[in-house]
Amino acid sequence: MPIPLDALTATNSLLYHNNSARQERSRMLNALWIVLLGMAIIFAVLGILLLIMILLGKLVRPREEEEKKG
Amino acid sequence: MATGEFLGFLNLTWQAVVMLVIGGILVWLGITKKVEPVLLVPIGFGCILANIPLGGAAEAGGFLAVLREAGIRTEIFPLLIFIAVGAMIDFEPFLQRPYTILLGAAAQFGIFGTFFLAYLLGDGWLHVLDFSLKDAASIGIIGSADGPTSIYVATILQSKYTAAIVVAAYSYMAMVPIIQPPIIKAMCSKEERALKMPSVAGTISQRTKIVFPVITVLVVGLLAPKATPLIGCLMFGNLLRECGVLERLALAAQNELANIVTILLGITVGGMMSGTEFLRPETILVFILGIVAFSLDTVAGVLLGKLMSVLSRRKINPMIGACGISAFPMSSRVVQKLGLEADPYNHLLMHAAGANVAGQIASVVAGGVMIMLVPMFV
Repeated sequence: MPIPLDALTATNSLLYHNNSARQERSRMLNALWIVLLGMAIIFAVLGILLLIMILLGKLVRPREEEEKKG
Repeated sequence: MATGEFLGFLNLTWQAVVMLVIGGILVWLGITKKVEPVLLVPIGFGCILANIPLGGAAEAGGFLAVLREAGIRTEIFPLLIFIAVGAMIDFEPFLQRPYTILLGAAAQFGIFGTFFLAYLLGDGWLHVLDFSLKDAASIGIIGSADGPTSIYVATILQSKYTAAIVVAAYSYMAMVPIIQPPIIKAMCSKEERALKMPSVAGTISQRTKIVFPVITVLVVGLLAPKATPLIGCLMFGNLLRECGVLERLALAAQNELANIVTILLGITVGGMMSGTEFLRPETILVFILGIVAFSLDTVAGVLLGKLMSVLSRRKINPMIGACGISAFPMSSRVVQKLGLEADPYNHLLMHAAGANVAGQIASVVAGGVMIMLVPMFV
């Protein structure tokens, strides 16, 4: 039995809207990923830099103090 | 030959007239009100030159178009500016308080929050404005509070709104003393603002100051490689300053290089402000989102400042979190002033400067991260 033309149009329209809504959700999810990953990478990079700077402070300072004492 | 073909005023459009007025206002703001004159005067004048009908300064082959191709499309101008900035910055306040780098990291939230908002309004969901993912990322980068980073990121991401983004970034840096105080006052009680921070004993050794730029380039470059040109130029300038054997080059970077590139960059950015490109509803939204970015930066910085204040048993004044944006030295001065208002003996300038220069590094990293992440999701 052939599918009525009206029903087909309504189904297509529904599919189109569902697809469009899915695409929008996916785009905003991507944007959210950029926000989360971005902040995580910034904290990770600067956190590592902080650790190295603290280590560096501990390594460099005493040697200079020794030089001063010497 | 018809008179309309050689008389400029017969070819004036309303867009050109508006842009000529805007250019005039920028020059006036710079000269009369002293609002970032170093940038606003060249930008305003470039804007006037670009909008004179039949002048051809900003058209293909015109000198402003040549400068744009040579200096901005190639990203050379912002990178050269970074060498100059690096040669001018003393990282000692940061090296004495390395924990302030975390405040710098938190204050980059304005970039990402604004990016999300811009994309939501644009192609992401609401389609109210013509903001693609790359445009939204470039608009968000206004929150880096750093002109060269904004130019660099917007150019690499090929945003349609580069001119508006650059003008917004530079204008809002000058407006930090207006944007930040109400937010800080709303978030910090008078008691918190009056919180004194202990002074840091001892100075930083010359060796540490020399090793710092090299280590920073290696760490940032290896973890976020897209930030390498920006952080590399910033730290190269700083190495010239700190190494102790290149005083002549350090002075050249601080003076001649900074001045020449600032003139060229300013007039070129002004030349990008042609009426047809600039006068769109999106431009107004770019400026509004710029304020949102600066405000979110301040809020995020102060929130982490509050957390650090609690964890450090109130040895850290939460206000210095607001200096995590890289608008140096404007936001340090704002915090110093607010501290003195709350308690005339509360001097926070050096603590605030530490967070401020840390914000400079953080904003460069944020720019590199944006350049790295956005193409992955396009």
